[in-house]
Amino acid sequence: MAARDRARSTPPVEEGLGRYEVTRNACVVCSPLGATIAFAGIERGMTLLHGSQGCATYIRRYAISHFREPLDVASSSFTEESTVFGGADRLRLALANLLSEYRPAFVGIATTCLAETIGEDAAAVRKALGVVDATSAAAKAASKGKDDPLVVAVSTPSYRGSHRDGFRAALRALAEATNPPIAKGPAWSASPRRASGKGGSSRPVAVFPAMLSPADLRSLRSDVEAFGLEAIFATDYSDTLDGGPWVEHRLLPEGGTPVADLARLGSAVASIELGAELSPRLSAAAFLEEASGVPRISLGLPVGIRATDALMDALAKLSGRHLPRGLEAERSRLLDSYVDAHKHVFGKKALLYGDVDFVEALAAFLLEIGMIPVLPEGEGRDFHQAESAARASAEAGGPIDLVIGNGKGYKTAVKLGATLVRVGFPIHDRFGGQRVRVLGYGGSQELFDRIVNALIERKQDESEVGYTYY
Amino acid sequence: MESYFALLKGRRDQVARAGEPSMNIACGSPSLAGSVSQRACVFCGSRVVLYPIADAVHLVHGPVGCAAYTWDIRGSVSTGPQLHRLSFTTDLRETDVIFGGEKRLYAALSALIEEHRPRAAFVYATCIIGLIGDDVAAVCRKVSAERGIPVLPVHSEGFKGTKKDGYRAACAALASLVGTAEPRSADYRGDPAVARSRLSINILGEFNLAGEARIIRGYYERMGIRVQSIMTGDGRVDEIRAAHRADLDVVQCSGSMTYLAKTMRDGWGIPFVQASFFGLDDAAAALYAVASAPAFAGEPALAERAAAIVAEEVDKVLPEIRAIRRDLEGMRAAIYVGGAFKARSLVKALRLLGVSTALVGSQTGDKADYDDLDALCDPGTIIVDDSNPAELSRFLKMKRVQIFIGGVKERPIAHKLGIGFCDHNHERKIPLAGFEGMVNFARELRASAMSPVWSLLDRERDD
Repeated sequence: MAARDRARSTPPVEEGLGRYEVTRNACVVCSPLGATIAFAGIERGMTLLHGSQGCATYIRRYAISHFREPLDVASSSFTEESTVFGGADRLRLALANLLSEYRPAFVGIATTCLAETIGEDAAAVRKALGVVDATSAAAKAASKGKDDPLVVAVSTPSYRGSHRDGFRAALRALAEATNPPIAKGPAWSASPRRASGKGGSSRPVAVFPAMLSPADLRSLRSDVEAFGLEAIFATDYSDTLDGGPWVEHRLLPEGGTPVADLARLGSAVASIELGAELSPRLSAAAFLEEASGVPRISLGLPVGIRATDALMDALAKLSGRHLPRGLEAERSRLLDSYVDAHKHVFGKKALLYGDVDFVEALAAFLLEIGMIPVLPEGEGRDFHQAESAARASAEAGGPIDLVIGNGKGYKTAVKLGATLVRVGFPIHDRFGGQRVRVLGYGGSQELFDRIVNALIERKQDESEVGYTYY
Repeated sequence: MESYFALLKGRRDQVARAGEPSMNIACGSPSLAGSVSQRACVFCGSRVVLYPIADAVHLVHGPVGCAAYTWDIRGSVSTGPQLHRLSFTTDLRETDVIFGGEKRLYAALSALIEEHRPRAAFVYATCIIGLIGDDVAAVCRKVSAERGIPVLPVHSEGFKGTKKDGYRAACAALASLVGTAEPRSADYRGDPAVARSRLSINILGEFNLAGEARIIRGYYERMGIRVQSIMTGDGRVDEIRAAHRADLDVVQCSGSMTYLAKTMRDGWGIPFVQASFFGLDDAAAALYAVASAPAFAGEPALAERAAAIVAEEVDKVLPEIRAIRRDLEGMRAAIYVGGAFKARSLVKALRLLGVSTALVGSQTGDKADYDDLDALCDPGTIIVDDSNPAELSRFLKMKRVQIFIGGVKERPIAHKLGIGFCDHNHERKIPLAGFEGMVNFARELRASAMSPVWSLLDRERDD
């Protein structure tokens, strides 16, 4: 089976003991983390996790070590009593406390395995808090956050899927809460397609990214805007999780997608959803298509020339413009570098793992430049499965040269005698993970250069001659 | 505190100022919902205490996150096996939550023991295990009988208390190991000169971050004392099993290990002393406390040896510490760490460097800890229990703090506000314990406080 096809199939959901024995050195984390990162991209937004105090703290710690930025996450801090009598009281107290302390414009509530197991899912959370059907949430969002904050709840039990599912579920919950289906909309949204806001007479493009680095989010936005399009990112943590010093004391970072913009998603000319295939249940774009008739454009992450071309073609169609000169020049330089370095990469093997959005895109990219992607066995949830695949591939012919993925692949790379090229989330063992780019022609250029240089460095280090020209 | 800024209702009793007549801080309670506590959970407490045992399998029974977030979470160094640095989880799914996870737990344990041949296995119960009703203890007993090694359930469901209750659950697991084997001097891993010494201690609450256990162990061995076990830094199951034969327990991280020390005192008649190895004063006191312990009455040579070591080590480090003090003198620091016992040492260590402490707090301190801090700190020092970023950042501003000593979660608070930072927790890579550790600590502070980057931030502020 072609590597790309294999990568396309998202890990199947659990069924009995047969699928795995035990997960050794997981290369995914749990769904509330994904929701937390998604919610961090809303202007003056806060996340409240409904569960044990530890979930919030672990997720903060994990994210802080990658982004090197504050990320305050509140918790309903379950006690034993909450598990017996329900956590609604503590949830209400938590919300009240965080509203009074942070005065956020938005609160995203994500459940945890604990809350879900006692039946407190997103619907129960909404009920407990007396929020909010989609219509009132949309009205709130449209009021541009002047009044009460928008509160959105999403079910993210950790025993379902991984961080990627939590991220996607959060995006969908945001779209659902702020964009009621047209027929049921209140008066203000009777014509949701009517242009509003800063886009002037044009309609915005809704962009639903994957769990990208802040730098990739920035370059993606710049690419979309280069076509003269207004982009509403759901969500955009490029400033909130990669910003400057706080000259004035503040509790929440600057940046993020304003709540009022979320309410305009339904008026988008189209939505672009990036990443590997998504079940409709997790797709915000599928929701918008159904609820508001916004056409859904699903594309893999734009890594490499072909995948980026696909995105650029879509943007060209939406805008009625040709590829802007600057981007065309970037593409041209990237292609030129492919030619210059093609022999360095040809036939080299790279092990991929982790987030399926990245695995799929990187596999396609590697094939495009003449490298051989090696994908984990089984569900691909841990490094044990990745290493088994690597060993099998090495036995079949040729060692693994590179390991490409998040920083947790370090030990696997050492074991395999391969070089780790760090991309994605998390990167805890190197500086600047939030600024690693892989997307678009520009990001692909950076990734390609790093891959080529990693291979050259191996050759140079292994050479007894110590050549100084490559 | 009202005069500073509005603390959340429900937090007001956990903030005080040193020297105030009414200083009486509330502590030990669960975190206030929505307060963005820096604490983790019961599971975290158990995990950090047991994690350094290097020849055991540590299996997290629950969904994937709890294991992933604690994979290799601290730099606990092992000089031998590295099993503790692997992350294992039953990775429970929806069907397991519905039908129970015992079968999966049994299969996972059996496979891991077969694969790694550990000396013991620890099974950490996470939140949902307490709800779905898995009989973890029964599965552990079964596997233990089949495999012939201790398999210990750790009752660390995240919601069942605070991080401190996790320490207790870990101590309970350790206590069930102690006394199940005899020490063998032939296997002694330390200085061979003391392998057969009459005098022996266990060191409790030392986790060998950045190899600190080697330093501490070295001091006692130079005093002629055999270190039977360290719990749990560079830990080995067999040494812990034979820990009941030691004469004395030296308890460093009192918050985490006092429960075990008391259990060993009551069960095995082993007395304990408290000690801290951070700062010159406390490191010296830690050696003297052991030398003068009633357990070693009739060994006057110990005190002489301790004094000689202290003199020698202090001589080695004092010149550099004095030099660094010239750079740091007059600065204001803040301390927010896990345990308050360590906070006390840090206040003293900072004082030695001419740095005053404007704010000190901890996640898990108890009343005695805070009373001690009250007595130790300069009047007006803010003392806080179970704080959060909103409070801490305001305190830092208010007190015009220049350097913050904390852990990973405190670092971005300091950096965003343009304040120097020293990691005194999980992520430290250089030893901060003992006499040589004090020099490292001073260097760390200087490297942050004296950086020229702060002057760029100041300019931005003035504009």
